[in-house]
Amino acid sequence: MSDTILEVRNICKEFPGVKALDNVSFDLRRGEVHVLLGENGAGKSTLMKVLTGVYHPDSGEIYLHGKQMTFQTPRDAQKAGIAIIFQEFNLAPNLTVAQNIYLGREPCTRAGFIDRAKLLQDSQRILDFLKVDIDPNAKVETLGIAHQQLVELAKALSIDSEILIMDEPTATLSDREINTLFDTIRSLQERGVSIIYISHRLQELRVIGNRITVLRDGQSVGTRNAGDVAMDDLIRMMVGRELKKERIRSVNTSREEYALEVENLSQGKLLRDISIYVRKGEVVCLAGLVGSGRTELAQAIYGITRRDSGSVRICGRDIPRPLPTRCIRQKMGFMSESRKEFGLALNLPIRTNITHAGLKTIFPSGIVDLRKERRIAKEFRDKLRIVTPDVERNVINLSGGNQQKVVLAKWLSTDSEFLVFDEPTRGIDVGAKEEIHNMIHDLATQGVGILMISSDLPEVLTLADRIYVMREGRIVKELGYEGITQEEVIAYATGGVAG
Amino acid sequence: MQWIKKHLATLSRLSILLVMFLLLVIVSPSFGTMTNILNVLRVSSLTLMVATGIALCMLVGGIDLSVGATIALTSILFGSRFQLGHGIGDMVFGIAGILVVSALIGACNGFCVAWLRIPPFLATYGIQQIARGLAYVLTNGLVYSNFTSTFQFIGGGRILGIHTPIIFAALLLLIVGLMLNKTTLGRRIYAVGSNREAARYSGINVNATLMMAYILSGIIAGFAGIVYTSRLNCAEPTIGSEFAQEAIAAAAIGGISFKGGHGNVFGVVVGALILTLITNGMTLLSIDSNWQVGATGVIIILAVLIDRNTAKKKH
Repeated sequence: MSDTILEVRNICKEFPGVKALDNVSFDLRRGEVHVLLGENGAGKSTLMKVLTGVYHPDSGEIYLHGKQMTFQTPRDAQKAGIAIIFQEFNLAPNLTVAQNIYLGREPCTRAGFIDRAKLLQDSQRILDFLKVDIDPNAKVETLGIAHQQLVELAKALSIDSEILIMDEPTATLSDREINTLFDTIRSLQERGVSIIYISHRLQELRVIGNRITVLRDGQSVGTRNAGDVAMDDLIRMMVGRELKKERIRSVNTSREEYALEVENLSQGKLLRDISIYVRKGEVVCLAGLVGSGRTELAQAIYGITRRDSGSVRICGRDIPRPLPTRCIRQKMGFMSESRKEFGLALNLPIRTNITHAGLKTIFPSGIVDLRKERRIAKEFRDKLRIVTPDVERNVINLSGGNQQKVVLAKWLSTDSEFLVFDEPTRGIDVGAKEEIHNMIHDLATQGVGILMISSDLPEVLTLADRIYVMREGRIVKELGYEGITQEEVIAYATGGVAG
Repeated sequence: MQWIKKHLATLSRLSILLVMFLLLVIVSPSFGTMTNILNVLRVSSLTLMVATGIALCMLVGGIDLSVGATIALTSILFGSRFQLGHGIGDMVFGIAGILVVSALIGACNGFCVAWLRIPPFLATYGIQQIARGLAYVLTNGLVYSNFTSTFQFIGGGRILGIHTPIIFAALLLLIVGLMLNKTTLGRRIYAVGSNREAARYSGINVNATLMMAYILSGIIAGFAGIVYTSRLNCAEPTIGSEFAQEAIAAAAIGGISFKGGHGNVFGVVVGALILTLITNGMTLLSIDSNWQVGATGVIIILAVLIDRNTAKKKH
């Protein structure tokens, strides 16, 4: 159990302007789950890319079974038995599960055609081992995210990997799915597979991890046994400072005027007879399970989808036929759940991304005043502490937390008075998370009405003035923040108590 | 330093052009003469104009194959319908007519792409066939020529010794460059091309932006058609058939991404000049014209490879 199979010594990797990895060392034992913990930009991803042959380190050594290795390409690392499951899956959505598992390595008949029977059989064997009930003939696009992840896992196992790297595997999973995943990880451990596990979720690390190595600013801060480390210690190692725990919002700053009034909104089977309101200066959270209709509600309000019936008023004005443009004119802003898909033009500079939502209001004449645009970009870079030397940098070069801040800057530059935040801190490290929480609080204090969708209950409880709980397309309960517990919210969200 | 890094791709393209230029100056004595350089610019100016329009469609993630047919149809209409008399008024009316018709063709492209959601390649190919077909029907095989000398000046004259097409191309580039960098329309074009969904969530009217890109490409093609017809002093339904291909190649060599949202007009200039230098250079080196066609293909592929490898190094 204790023999070291992978050792990384003094790895350094520099990118123009940033020292991404600075003398990082750590080791991995057979059959252990070794957690890599660190804020975004701490160097975790870079380290993983070095281990899988995507990047070449400037200096330092990698030993596998005591033998020094250099991985020229990802394929070399794969051959050596190191597989990685990225946050964004590398699956071909329109192929079947079995085809994906053996993509590029399909078993062939003697005539050179693909041996479909064997392909199915082998895939089924791996899926059985993972104890998951997925039809190997199903197309990947028809599966939920959790199952897609398991297909990725099956793919990694099909190449007999000794070392599995999992990047934020639980970020998009529900609690039950997480438990299944953890069971799978445990049975992998029993088979002697070692796992490098990257995550921000502190609670789960001690459940699944054996040892935890903390990275900060490209350096390894230390390695601890998961069994006997205090949570506060880990946090301190990660951020180098104490995080305050108490409720961020001490006073309810809600005002008389309404930012949002929704009456009897329905949309097919997704949304049924929904009536909610948000006052200016108020933080209202939509709680509920994934798929309960929270995002769908926000999209229907914003005019991304059409509602069947009901009325929506934004900042006091009726929006009979909603469109993003019309909502923006009424000072609404929408921070989507997926910033890469819906929030940012990744290959354009920070400067232009920030003005995208405000083109009509910031430049009413249609002529872009470059100096003004640059001034606005710099103003928000400083205000939101977006870490970048230059607002001309393309957004793609920023870390997740900083990208999220660019999206926020986009909506602040249009002087939004009603903002929807859909999972604003998903996949973001604790430090940036706290910053975003403070910003939401500050915005509310300044009189902005906020509707926040979040699956992170502690986050809901620290920020919300009021909570609507959704289940199966309905609002099942409205709760004030006082005296309410996570358990209570979960009970309503899952139908554990009668709404 | 930062500036160099940001513009590395453009600079590398520019250096390919400069190397080609210097090689030709050394190898061929007649290349460096003012006459030849002006000639190169004149030849490339039409490709350049059309490529600028296509680049707009490529920036929003599309393509415009209909430019050649637009040139043919508008030039036929000019010869057969718009310019019935020979006065200045007729000419002005004719030119205005061309611009309106070409804008309409662009609008048809935009409508098919934005509202009917037909893939741009197919939509503009279809419109191209329709426009070309109309040109044949309207002429019934006739060729129109003998335009007024005023009209011939537009494409065939010189101002201060510089050919008019060069001047028009330069003006067009200036306008389109300013539009892309200094107007909200330009911002919208890049935003839609870079991430259509994010643009929609930002309240940008995606369909209207697509529409504008195709209309502008149509108008620019119509404008190029005026210059071309004037220079040829002739209008016939078959002209301009190779324009789309050449212009797309110029834009692509110049770094306009097929995926949208990436590239600038300066790149298009470099791309168009590289393309013209290849042909011009081979002619000056008296390479057999039968071999020139294939050689052009080889050089284009080499240029793209060199360009991509230098651009990659910045990572």
